[in-house]
Amino acid sequence: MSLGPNFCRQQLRPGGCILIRNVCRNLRRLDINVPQEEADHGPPPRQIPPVAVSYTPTFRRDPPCQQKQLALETIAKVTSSIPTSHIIYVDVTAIGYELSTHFIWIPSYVGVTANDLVDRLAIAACRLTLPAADTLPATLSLCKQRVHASAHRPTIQHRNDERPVSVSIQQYDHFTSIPYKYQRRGLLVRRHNLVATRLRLGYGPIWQVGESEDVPLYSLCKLCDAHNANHLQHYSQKISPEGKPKVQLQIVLHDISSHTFQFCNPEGRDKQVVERNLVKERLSQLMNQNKRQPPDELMQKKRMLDENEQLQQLYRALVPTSIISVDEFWKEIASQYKQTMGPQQDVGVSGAFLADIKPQTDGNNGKVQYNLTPEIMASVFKTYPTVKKKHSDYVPHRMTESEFWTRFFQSHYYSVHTTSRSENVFSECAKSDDKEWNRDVNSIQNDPLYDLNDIYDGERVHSVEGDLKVAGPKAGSNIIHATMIKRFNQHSLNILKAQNYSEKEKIMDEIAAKNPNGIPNGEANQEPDLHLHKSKKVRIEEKLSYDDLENKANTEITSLTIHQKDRYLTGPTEDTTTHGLPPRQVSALQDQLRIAVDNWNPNLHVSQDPESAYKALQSFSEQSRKSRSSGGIHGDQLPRNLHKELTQVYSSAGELLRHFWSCFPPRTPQLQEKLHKMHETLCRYHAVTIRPFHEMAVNDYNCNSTILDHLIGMFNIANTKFENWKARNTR
Amino acid sequence: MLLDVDGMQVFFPYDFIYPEQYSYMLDLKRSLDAKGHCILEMPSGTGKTITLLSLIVSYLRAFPQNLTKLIYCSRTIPELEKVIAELKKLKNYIEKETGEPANITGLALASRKHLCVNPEVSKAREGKLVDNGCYALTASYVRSRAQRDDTVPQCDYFEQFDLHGKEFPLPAGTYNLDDLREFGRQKGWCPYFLARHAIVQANIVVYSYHYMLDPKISEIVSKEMKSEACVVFDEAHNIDNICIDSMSININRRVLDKAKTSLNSLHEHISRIKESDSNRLRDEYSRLVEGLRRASNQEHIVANPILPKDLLEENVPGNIRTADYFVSFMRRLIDFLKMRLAVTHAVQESPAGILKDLKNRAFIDRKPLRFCSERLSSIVRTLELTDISDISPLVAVAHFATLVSTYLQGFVVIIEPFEDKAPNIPNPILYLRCLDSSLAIKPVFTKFQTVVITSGTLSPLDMYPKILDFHPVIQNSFTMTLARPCILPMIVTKGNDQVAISSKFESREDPAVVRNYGKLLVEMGTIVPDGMVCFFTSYLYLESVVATWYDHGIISDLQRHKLVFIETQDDAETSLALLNYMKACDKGRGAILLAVARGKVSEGIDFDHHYGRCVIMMGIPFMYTQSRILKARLEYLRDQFNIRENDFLTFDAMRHAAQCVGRVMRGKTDYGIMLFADKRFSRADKKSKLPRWIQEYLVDSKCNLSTEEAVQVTRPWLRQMAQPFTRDDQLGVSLLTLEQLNSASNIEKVQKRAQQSF
Repeated sequence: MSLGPNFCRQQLRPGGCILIRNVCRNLRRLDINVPQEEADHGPPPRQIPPVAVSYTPTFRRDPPCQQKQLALETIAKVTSSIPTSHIIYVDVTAIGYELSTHFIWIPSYVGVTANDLVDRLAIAACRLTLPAADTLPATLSLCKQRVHASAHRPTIQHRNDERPVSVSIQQYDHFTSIPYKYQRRGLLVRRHNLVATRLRLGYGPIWQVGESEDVPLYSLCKLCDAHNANHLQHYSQKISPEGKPKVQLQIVLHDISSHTFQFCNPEGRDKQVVERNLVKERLSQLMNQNKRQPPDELMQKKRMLDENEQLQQLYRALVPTSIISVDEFWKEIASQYKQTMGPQQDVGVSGAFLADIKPQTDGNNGKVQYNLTPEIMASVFKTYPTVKKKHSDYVPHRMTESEFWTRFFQSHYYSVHTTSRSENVFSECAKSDDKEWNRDVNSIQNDPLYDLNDIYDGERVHSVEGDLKVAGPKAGSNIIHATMIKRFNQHSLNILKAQNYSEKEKIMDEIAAKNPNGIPNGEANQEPDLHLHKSKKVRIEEKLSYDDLENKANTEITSLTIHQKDRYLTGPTEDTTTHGLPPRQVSALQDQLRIAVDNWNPNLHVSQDPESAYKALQSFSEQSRKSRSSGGIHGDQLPRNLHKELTQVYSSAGELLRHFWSCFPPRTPQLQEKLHKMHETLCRYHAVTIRPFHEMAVNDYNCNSTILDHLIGMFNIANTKFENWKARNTR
Repeated sequence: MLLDVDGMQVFFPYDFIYPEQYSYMLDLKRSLDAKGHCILEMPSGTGKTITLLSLIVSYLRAFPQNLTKLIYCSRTIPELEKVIAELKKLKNYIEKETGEPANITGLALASRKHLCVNPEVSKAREGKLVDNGCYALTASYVRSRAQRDDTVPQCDYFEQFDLHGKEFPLPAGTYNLDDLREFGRQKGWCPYFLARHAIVQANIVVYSYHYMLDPKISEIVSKEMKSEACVVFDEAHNIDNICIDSMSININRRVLDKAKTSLNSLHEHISRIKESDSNRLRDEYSRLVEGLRRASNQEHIVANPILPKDLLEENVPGNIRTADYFVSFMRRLIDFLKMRLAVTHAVQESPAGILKDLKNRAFIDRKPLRFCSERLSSIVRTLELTDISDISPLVAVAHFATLVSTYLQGFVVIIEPFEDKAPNIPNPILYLRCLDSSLAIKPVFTKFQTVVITSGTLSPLDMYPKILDFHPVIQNSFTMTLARPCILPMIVTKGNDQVAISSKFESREDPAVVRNYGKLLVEMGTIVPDGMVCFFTSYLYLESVVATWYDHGIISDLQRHKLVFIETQDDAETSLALLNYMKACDKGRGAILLAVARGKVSEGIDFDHHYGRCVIMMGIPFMYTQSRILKARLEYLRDQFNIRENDFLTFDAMRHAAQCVGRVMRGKTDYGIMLFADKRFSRADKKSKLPRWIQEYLVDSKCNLSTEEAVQVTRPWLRQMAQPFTRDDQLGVSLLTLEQLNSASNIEKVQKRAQQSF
């Protein structure tokens, strides 16, 4: 029985009424509120024209993965665009029973592939004009064939027309040729369905989603391990060698694909070379810029704002209203916050910075090329101070930069297994490194817990083991391997040390910043070391403690950092007058003091009376002045919104005023300039923020108009000060 | 808390206790009651030391008539210090609890190198030099000479101690090495001799294995200990090797040459003295006629390698009584040994064979040989030689003679023309190897009423009674109760390319295997935070693998994530690497340490908490099976103790593997991954030899993983472990309060657990 709207309805039988009533009652008991759909749902599904397969306009010249992706998306769209109807009919017959029942009609074939197909075929069959009976034998199979053909004709025609140009059709063919493969919740699914779903769910790039066997043409970026990262910073460029007739510049992308440009200035080869060099220079600058400019500078700023609420408020109040420019904001205001945030940590040296330099060959003339970035050079210098020294010695007096680095790559630092140290620049470095290493080795013998030499207490009274050892390298071990292992250890050690150095420097800088004219004191240098070397006893204790067995609430104790130990330990200098007192006199003084204390009684009428004292206090305190002038309106009594805004206004105004006052006395031209600027800013702030706020407060919240008197007073003071200064200055 | 263990009050200085600690106490108490020996295995890092100490100290207090002394033997100096620190904590607790001073005297004893306070002598860094410096100042003849002559230098500390300190008992308290030195400095007494003197009276003595096991030293140090003592061997998983090493001697050509020169100088000395002071030699001769006992009543300078009571009753045979005869006797012996060393192929002989050869070729009887070392010490004393280190090769030869003639069973003499690792350079070595580990430890078992052998890794337990030849009354292995699975043992058998990984000889150099090992390390290195330790089977393998990894770029992959430190054969360099490894972990940089199983790192260093979140065991650390010494020992074990070669090899390899991975755990709040990377680990015979507490968490699903499966398992586990872990999570499961402990059901449960293994 169809429930279509055009169907002539029969009267319900009595049993039906009871059934409906029962159902309705049960439903109502469930107390489910099903809102009635109000929208127009369009025609019922039968009347919707069948979807034509649509094709994506992709072309062969597009990158293959884009082709694939578009194709798959289209396929997904088509297959999932079967209109599932959710039109709601109101059963009129039930209205009489004081309720309205809503039925949702969903064609039974929807969603079931085979039924869909049958439905489509049925529609086609109905529209099919039957041929005359005599022309062809009316067998069932023939009829079927024709029905099929007519059902699919438009689609197939269209498809065949487009096939040669459309990638998506080819793709579709390809996918339909793949059998059902995946089983999901009992349903067999083709791969493209799966892929499309995953794409919609936001999975990764298409070739990962598709698990396709053919790997995409795009290789990994060699620098940053990212797919498809062909930004400018990932390019490298090559130029044609000198003798060649053509002047060319080649840009090599990371996937090894390359673009070659030939320079063809008619004025001749020299001009071409000049042009080429210009382009090359410019390109390399661009590359470096792109490389150097960390996009995280913005992120860093954002993070700073996120972390610091007050700063964020200031930013909101000042920058978008263009009271202060963005640069100025970061320069002037945020820098102070930065200082209060404490020291920032340095980025350490990556352990594999040497491994990141991969030699590359440019296929034709067998040259090996190393790409060095400034970061790597910095890491090398940080890790190997001796190399840095050598570098400053040799470059550029004795050899060029590139020569130096070429030598470096030939040395043992880069190729760890080489042992030949003939005439090398770095052989001296190696010697001093070895010396350093030996010093380190000797220095650790004080460490009681990890000194393996010492760890066993063997009182082998007269052991002859020393005599049994074979001189030279340990028996059997390969000397090349041994040096290699030693180099690895050395390398790691140096990296650790580099970190230490920078930390130490940092601490030194901080100390210097804190007391710029203080005497540099010897203790401060050793302080970082003290933290590293815990005493043996403490470490044994640490090893022994079972924190879960002990019932101890550990309280966090902030450590006391003393920069000038002397001052802390000696305290204030002794009063020399008391020093010379003879003991007899001391006791006499004590007696005197005791008598004085005993006989003391407060002399109250000399002190100020409370009223005037209170007044004096009030006049000193800005806060109380404000509360008095605003007629006793406390912060609590203000509406909350207003209160919040008021605080914001106060804080941003205070910040600006602080900057303003910090310019006084304006001795240097910079300060004067800043003063002018700050004054301008203040005026602008007054105009842009305070006045509207005042109006709003008075009009919308019916506040006393004196609410901002204090703030405005501060502005006025600043203003008069500025005016005075200007008047004096111009005079 | 105050515990009640089997009717005895036990002071335990913590407020909470692990259930297995309680079970451990129960077992220990039973064995003390029975006055028998016991073997107890308890997981590393569950507070073994404090459990032992608190029970035994409480026992000492409760039953002073049964037990008077605790002798705690440990392996390393830091361990000794830790034991004393724990003892200090316990003592403080007892004093706090009882309100009166606990009458406990506990001290650590170590060699002169660690205790000497003499400003001149202690400057020397090497133990041997310190010993020599001390001998030169404190030997009895030096002192008697100093009484005659003021210019002879003496050690003030020793003299002071000798004058005043001997009657003075050490005040009650706990003394670690630093405390002893401090005390010695204050009083002006020599801390070493003070400690040597004090250990006789002290309740608790903590020292290294050698003082107990090495017959040369134990004769000097531990002779006067009473038998009502409890001897604890902590970290005793390697005890058999220590026993064997203490009775073995190696001699090569250089030793013999030096022995010859020192013999010549001895001879000159004798002839000089003959001219100047022949009485002294005559005195010695007459004393020797009277008997050795009388002759050796003075302090020992050159110790006797063999066991007490065998020898001292007899007189020295006549043909070595005079100094000249003895010198020529030794010369003949050395010549004989030199002759024997000139071989072109390896020779293995029993002591009896050597003795017969000696008789035939050098006309030396067995009897004088036995007295060799005793006679040597006598002559050194007579000649008033001060520099002992010069004659150490001679002493070695003398020891060899004594040992080879005393023990006809359980020893073997092997002469090898080449070293194993350099088969082209002739470097003959004569090994006198003890094969029977029970020889050295037998006097300990017979003398002391209770010997406790304990460690974190003693499985399989029944092996130790066999090879040490004793009968324990209690033998138990405890598991670890955990509130969360804080150990993750895994066995990785194959790499991502499904090539089986194994360190067996045929496949260890296979590039695929080496690469898979490297990939495993890199993969784990990327996901495991902080420190990682990786153990290789041997140093040579480590070297070659690292070289291959460097060529394949695996090292740089590693360096991308962690700093790489590698153990070397040089101890000082390794210490430096280790120190920096720790530093890198402290800084949060993370590091990988590549070390060698059986190396010093694997034995003495703990990688607790962030120092080791993951230990990877690359291959099974079998002994070098081609070595003749090992073969001889295996044969002996098979014949005498009925232990099959394979069983022993596997046992030895697995105990070292377990030892390596066990370093990662310290307490129940710690967590760590134990990764066994070898196909052979998954076989039942290997797996079943792991300690029970590891086996319990080694489920079948984690026994046959590939690299990426292991990573899959590890990732969520690490995340889970990184969650905050409070005491409340543990309480009742793996941690008990006093009330919980006293509830009847819990006692029952604990006792049931303790019984489980029987």
